[in-house]
Parts: sequence; structure tokens; C-alpha cells
Amino acid sequence: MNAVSRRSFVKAMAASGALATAAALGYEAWKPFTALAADDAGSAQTEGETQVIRSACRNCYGRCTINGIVKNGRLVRVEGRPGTYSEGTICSRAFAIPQLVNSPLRVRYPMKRVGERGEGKWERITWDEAWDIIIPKFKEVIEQYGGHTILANNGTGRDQLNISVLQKCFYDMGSVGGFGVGSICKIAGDFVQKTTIGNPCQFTGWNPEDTNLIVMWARGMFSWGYYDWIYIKKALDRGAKLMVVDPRHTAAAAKSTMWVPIRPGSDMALILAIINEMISSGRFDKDFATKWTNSSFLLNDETGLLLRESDLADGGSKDKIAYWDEGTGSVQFWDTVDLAWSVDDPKPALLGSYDVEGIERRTSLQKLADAAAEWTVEKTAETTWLTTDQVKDAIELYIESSPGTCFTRGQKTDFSDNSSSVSHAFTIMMALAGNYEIPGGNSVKPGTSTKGSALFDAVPPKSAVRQEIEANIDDYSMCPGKAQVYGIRDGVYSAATHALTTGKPFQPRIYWGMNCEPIISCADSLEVAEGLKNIDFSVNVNLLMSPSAELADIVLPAAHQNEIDRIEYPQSGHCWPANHTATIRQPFTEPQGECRDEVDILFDLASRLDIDMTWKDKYDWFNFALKATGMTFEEFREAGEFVDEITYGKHEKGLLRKDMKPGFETKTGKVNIFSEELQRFGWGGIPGYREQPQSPFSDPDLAQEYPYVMLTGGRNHQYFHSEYRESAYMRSIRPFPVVEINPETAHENGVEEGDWVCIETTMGSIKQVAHLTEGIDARVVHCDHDWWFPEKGAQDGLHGAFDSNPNAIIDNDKVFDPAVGTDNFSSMCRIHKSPDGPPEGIFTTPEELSAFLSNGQEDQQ
Amino acid sequence: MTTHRMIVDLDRCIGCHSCTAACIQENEIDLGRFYTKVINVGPTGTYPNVEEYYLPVKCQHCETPTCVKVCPTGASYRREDGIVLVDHNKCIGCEYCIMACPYGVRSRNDRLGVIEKCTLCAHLVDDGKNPACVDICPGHARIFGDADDPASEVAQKLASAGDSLHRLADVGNTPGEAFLLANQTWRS
Repeated sequence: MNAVSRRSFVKAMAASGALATAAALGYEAWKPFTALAADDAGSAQTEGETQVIRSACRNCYGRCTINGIVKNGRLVRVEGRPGTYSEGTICSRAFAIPQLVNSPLRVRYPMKRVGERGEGKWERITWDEAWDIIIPKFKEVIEQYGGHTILANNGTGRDQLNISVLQKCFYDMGSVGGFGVGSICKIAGDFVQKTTIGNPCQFTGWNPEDTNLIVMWARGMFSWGYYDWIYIKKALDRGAKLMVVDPRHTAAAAKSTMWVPIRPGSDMALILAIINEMISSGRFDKDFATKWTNSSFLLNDETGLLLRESDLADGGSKDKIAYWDEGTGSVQFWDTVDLAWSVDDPKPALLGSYDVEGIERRTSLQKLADAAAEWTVEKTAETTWLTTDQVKDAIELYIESSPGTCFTRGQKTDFSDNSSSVSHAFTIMMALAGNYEIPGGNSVKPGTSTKGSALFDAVPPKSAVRQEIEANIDDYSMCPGKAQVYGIRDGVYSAATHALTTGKPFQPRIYWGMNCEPIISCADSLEVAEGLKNIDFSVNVNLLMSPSAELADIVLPAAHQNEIDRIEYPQSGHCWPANHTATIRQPFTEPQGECRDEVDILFDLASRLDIDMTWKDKYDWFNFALKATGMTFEEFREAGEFVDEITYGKHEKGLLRKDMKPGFETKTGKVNIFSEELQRFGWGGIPGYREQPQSPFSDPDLAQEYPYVMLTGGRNHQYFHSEYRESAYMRSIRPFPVVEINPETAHENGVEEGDWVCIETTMGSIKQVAHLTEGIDARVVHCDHDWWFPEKGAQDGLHGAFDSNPNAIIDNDKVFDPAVGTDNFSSMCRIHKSPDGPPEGIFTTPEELSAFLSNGQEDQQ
Repeated sequence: MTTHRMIVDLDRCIGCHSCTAACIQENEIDLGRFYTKVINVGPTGTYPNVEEYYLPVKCQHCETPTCVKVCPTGASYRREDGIVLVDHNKCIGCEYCIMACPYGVRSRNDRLGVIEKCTLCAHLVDDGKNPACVDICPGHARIFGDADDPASEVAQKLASAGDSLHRLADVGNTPGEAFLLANQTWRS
């Protein structure tokens, strides 16, 4: 390395007057250091080579295409890469990449804990030594307690492919999940969509091109994949409208045609009000509802399910569902196997109740209409804290703009004990409005040529242990009888937490955490930490020593996402054309130290435990995944992108189902207005409203003492969940966790702009900095989520994990959604000015942040 | 003649601070100082009847810059193409210009004892490139080019903007840069 640092070199040059000649040219004297440093490096090194490597960012799901600028084997900067959906744009977080890659805080070698858990004492070991500790422990636990006592977890951002490989590897061991990202993010909603329409398309799949209206529901613009805005703006410029349903005045709200500032957690009321108006006024897509939804299917009130031929006649088929045919004036059937009506020219009755062998049987849509009828404008306004005009305007804008409205939402509506119903209701709202599979609406299954993370679920055979467990899940699950729609996939975080601390229904023995932070991201952080201290054995694969890594026995160094190869799939919540484009993510540099790709680590673990991963390594798998494109991975690397054409009416063309029949990939072949899965495992077959367990409505006594709704989880521009608190750039732009408070509320509590504020719930207190804004209701405060402070030590509350993180003061013992295991990440709270300023030991000045900067030597040590 | 100008379309700016970060990376600015910042204007009004826009503020590359007028050493100067710069060989770090700038966009580099601010990335511009904050902007909100070239986007926007064209307060310095805001009330 150059003995003279760039800055001291520049300074010395400037002081010695060596730049005088250049200065005569007019501007070199203020040329930024980077420009001069190039000369510096060039003269000091043997022709310092600069490489420009095209890749994609993985600092969130957006996967914007970027170039990495590498000098002498070191990533020095990133730039936007034009020519793709992201059009060369990148958000501020992308600039944190070189900082994290080169961070002095980075874990670069395998380590063994030598002190107490949380004491922060570690000893470097070799990979072989690490495996020699890990593998016997896994074998012992599987033998003695069973694989279901092994918990595995992967963070949301790192990445979909890691998650699928982790699941394959651990499910085949017999594991039943962990703190899965699933129960705290959108995947729960995805599973509901799979059963109700066949594919998750409430995040991804929307198309602002040709749309009349874009509905962004609980999705701040923009927290991931900012390029969506480019396409939305194009739509707005040609006259489309933007409706933003969000309790906060986000950037999306600022740009919207209509902001609908709904009360946190009351979304279902507005969805049902829209559905109610559509059905009662007859302004819905009757043709789509008749042909492509199960609206007309009759219900059997005795079984609580759809009425089957087998319910009506001995020897009748269970696969044939009854409907009332208006053409023949008789009961007829829809065959869910052949996907065919029993008469040639079916005329299914959408609404009404029909006498079937002496019993009145309602249609599914009638049941929904009856249930939604109570959601009048007045009742909806009262429930949602909207005015009747706001409710009416929102309903009218949606109905008037449909068909031809596209919809995308954030995951906040999944933070609810009613999230399965909300996901279901969104599907119904879109389907009845006729907004699926049309220009300007939502594609049900975008980007079909490149096969994504689902491959690992679909292709490899399941181990005998896994088959046994899946067949008898209630005997092995941490929450037996619950979360059935979600299945064992990735577990339910609160059940895992309770199992760890109580030993019920069994004591987990091993925890494998991979670039995830359950202490920060799961409710009741203290209980999670207590649980992780209880575990027999724990491995953490990580980029940094995060709070949960400090509780592990072995820490393995993860390669950064820009040190590895990946196919970046179009699965990430974005609009056309991003949702139809796969792009390359390839290394800027070799992994530093002894860091390894998590997928390689998992293939290694699987091999050492004799788990059959089907493919011999990730490249073998990538080649398989790319087959439909006609490319190998190396050819894809050269090509850079693969763009699928957008196709409308895929349900009519047989493009949504594996059997290539027209219809949707659900058990009925139709969009399920009545869902048998949710009737069995959720709150009910049609969506209904549930008030949150802690709200001014459900707990007025609590509201006396804790008057404000504490909303959390709103995104900001500099951080992605628990990530980038180690980035000096991000921390210099947004230094502290921010609590948004209405000025009236702040005034009542003696709080001023910039004050450190204590936010208190029945669980405890955290500190954040007050930002006063008219963009939030006076009865609501919003807290930044997932804060921790890498500058604090392990012994200092696990790097300040409980200082400012709202999950530290949210109960995890509330009701959770029986279908998918989600619950309410919110609480009632009160606020007051902090008597003693910020949390102790955190960086409060820019100078302190320089400790996060690389000195250029870290990877040489 | 060439006059390098940047305008920011505030109807497109989403306040993400990507420009801020791009600028820090490009110019290796010390932590805590910024050549460009983004200010939230609002939400103005009373909940829920509010408006809000985001205002990126940096050196406005004025036509008659007060910073140049007050500089005792001639370090602050205006190039022929309109870019206002500080020659670090001449700058003594006296901070007169910091006090004279109506927009508070200059800061002192204590390590080098000189004043710094947005250079419009003249090192890139002279290389035929855009300033670092332009191409990466997720809203395509920043428009840069030669205002003297009628075919340039920046010239055309300036010509067609009409009432949506705004500038920061002029106290005799004649700010060179401009903002577009059509969908909301200008409050800056």
C-alpha cells in the first residue's frame, strides 16, 4: 500500500506549491481529492489499474443496476449503471457499499467465542476448526433431540436465494423454522395470495404504463427501488392519478393526487367500504367475477366450506363445487380438476341465495356482500379517523378508475393479527374491480422465464425426515395448529422466542442466524436476547458483529453481496419493466479476508451433513434456473439482463397454471372470493375487520395512560431495517432515530424539534429525536425502527440494541394471525422530553463517525 | 459562449438525499459538511390538509456572487462559464464568504484551512461529464447543461417554465441556478 495517505499526500502537495502549475490552468487547486488521488495512486502503484464492473445493488430489494469502480483490487466507489430499468439512478444507500465492504467493523475471519455470551470476547479460528466444532454439534442435536430443535434464520435483504437454500438445507435436517422473516414481513401476505389468486402480486406486478390510477397502500415512496418513481411520474405526466393510503405524509403522499391518512391498523375498514360500494352499486367487473372468480360458488353453512356435489349426493364428487345456473335454473357444478362447468353455456348467479334441495344457499359473493354491508361511509370514517368526504373520495376514485388501476403496497398491513384477511381483501378488491392481467393493472405472475428462489422448494426431493415432519407438523411445530397457510416455512418469530425462553412446546437446541438480526427486528427484543442466551449452540454468519452475533458460539464471516455471483430475479416489489427483468449481480472484488458466500457455506454445511442439495453448487443451480432463457450463467453474466415481455390475460391463455389450463393457480382454478384455506386456518373464508389489540378503541383504559398510537416501521432513505448504522455517510445524513410527532402533541408534552424524547409503553422506554410535523395525526407518533449503535460495545446492551429500538418496547404476546403467524408491531405509548439527552455512548458528532471509515488497511491485517 | 447551469425540478425531487451522498463520495467531503443538502419544505398547512416539497440547496453559482465580492484574496472567483469556485492556493480561510453567502452553502475545511462548496463538479464538467449528483438522481430531477445552447434541455426548460420557474431569494447576487415547481406553492 501507499505509505502516504491520499489526503496527507494532497495536503503536502498543496503546501509545497507543487500544484502551482496546475493552478495556472484555473481549477486544479480545488479539484476534489478523488481526482488527485487517481494521480497519487497511479504514481505510487505500478500503473494502478481501474476496473469498472457492472453489477446490481443489494442494499434493498430494489436491485438497482450499478457499476463498481475498483482500483488495485479495492472497491473505491459505486456509480449508477444506465441502460436498465433503474436508468442509472441510485439512492443514497448505494454509496454505503464501499464503506461496508471496507469497514473496520467487518467480520473477516471465523471466530470462536471465548468469553461469556454478550461479553464481546472472540478468538480467530480457521474454517476447518469452525466446521470441526459445528458439525459434531449438529449431528449430536439431530440424534439426541431431533432436527426440529434447530432454528435457522436469514435476513430479508440477503437475499431471496440465500433464504431458499437455507430452507432447503435446514428443512431437510428436520428444522421447522426460526425467527423467520416471514412472520414479520410480506412473505406471510404472499402465502395468502398464493392460496387466493395463485401468485403474490400485491407488491410486484403493477404497471403504471397505461394506468388510470396507481394505488400505493402503506408504501412510502420510496424506501426501496426508487426508480419506480420514474415510471409513476411518467404516468402522472400523462394524466394518471396517484392515491396514497398511509398514516404518514410520506414522499409518496407529497406527490399524490389524493392522500388518505388512515388510522394505523384500520386499513380493512376502507377496503371493505370500497368492496361494499362496488357490490351494492353494481359497479364491478361482473364478467371477470363470473368467469374467473369463485363469486358464484354456493356455500355450505354446515361445513363452513364451499358446497360440493358430495354434500348433496352420496357418491358425489368432492372436486365439484355447486353454483346456481341461471340459464338452466338449477344447481350445476364447477369441476376443480377438469376446470370446467357442467353445462355448455354456464350462467352462474353471482349474488343471491338459492333453494338447493330445501336449503337456502348463498353465493360466496353474497356472503361477502352481506358482511361488507356494515361498512358504510359513516362507519368507515369513524373507524379510520378519516372524514366522510375522504372515505367517499377514495372509494369513488378507485371505482371510477377501474378497470385500469394498478396497486402496490408496503408490508405494514402485514404487521397485524389480521394480515391474512387484509391480503385476501386486497386481492378481492382488485379482482372485483377487474384490475388483474390488463394494461395498467397488475400482472399476476410477472417475469416468468427466469425461475427464482422457488426452485429449491419445487425441484429437489425432500428428505425422509422433512416429509415425516410436514405430514405431522403439529407434533413438531413451535406453534401447533397455527399458521397453517404459511406452513412451516420459516417459522413464527413469537413462537420461536417463547420456545427459547420457556422450553415450550420444546427447547430449541441450535440457532443458525445468517445476516439477520432478530433481536432488533422481532418484537420484545429483550426476550429474544434472553432466549438466544439460552440456546445450547449458536452459529452466526454475518458481515458485522451485530447484537445477535455477540450471543453466538461461532461467528462465520459472510461475503458482502457485491463480492459474490447472483441472478437478481424480478421478485422485488417493483413495477414494469423491473418486475420483468432479471439482472446480474457479480463481484466487484474477491471477498475480503476469509469471507465466503452464504450459499457456498450452506452447500458446504449440507455436504458435511449428507443432505442432498440436488445441484452440486450454486452455478449448477443457476444454470438450471436460467434454462428457459436459453443462457448459461456465464452467458447471462455477459448479457447482463434478461427482460421478459409483458403479457396480458395470462389467465385466459393458460400461462398462470402448471397444467397450462386457463385459470389461476389455486385449488379452485379461480380467484377465491371465499377462501377455504382461510376458513380452515385463518379468521374466516371471507375477510372481516378486527380491531388491533392495543388501540384507543379496543383498550380505552390503557389509552388513558398511554394516549398515542406508536406506529413503527415507516421507511427512511438512509437505512434498510437494521442495516447501515455502521455507514459514516448514512449516519452523517440521518444521524439519529427520529420520532415524528404532530406539533400539537409535542406542545402538550413539552417537546420541541430536535429534543431527545422518551417513548414509553407498558413494556419500557426508548429514546429518539423529535421531529415535529403536520404530516401525522396528533393521536399518532411514528418511531424509526430497528436502530442499534455499532459504536457501542457488546457489553453495552449488545451494541445499544435496546436504547432506541421500538421493538424493545413492543409486546410479542398479543393475538397473532392464525393463518400466517403475524402480529401487531405497534403499541400505545406516551412521550416526554428525555431528562438526560441521548442514549449514553452513541456517536453524536460527525467527527466521531470517522471511526466507521476505513483506513485502507483493514483487509491487509 | 457556454454557461453551465443546473436546475432542479422539484415536482420530481423526492427528498431522498441521494445527491447528498453522491456529492460526499465524489468530493470526499469531511463528515458532517455538505456541498448540497435537501431541505423539507413542509408539510405546510395543518394536518391533514398539507403540502410538502423537497428543496436541494447548494451553491447557486450566482451571476454577481457576493462571495466573490467580499473575498480579500481573490480566491473566490467566477469562471467564464458561470461556475463559481474557490482557489485553495489563494484562500486563507477567513470565512468572509461564508458570512456573505445568502444561502449558507459554504463551509470551512479545517484540515486544509480553506473554504469549500459545490464546484458543480467542474472537474467532471470539464471532462464532458455531468456533475455527480445529476445522473444518479432517482427522480431525474436535476437537469444540467449549457444554458446558452438553445437545444440543451436546461435552456429549453428555462424557456418554457413560465410561472413554474423559481429562484432562491435574490439579495443582489442574481442566483444562477433555478428550480421548477408547478404542482405546489413556492414557499422558499
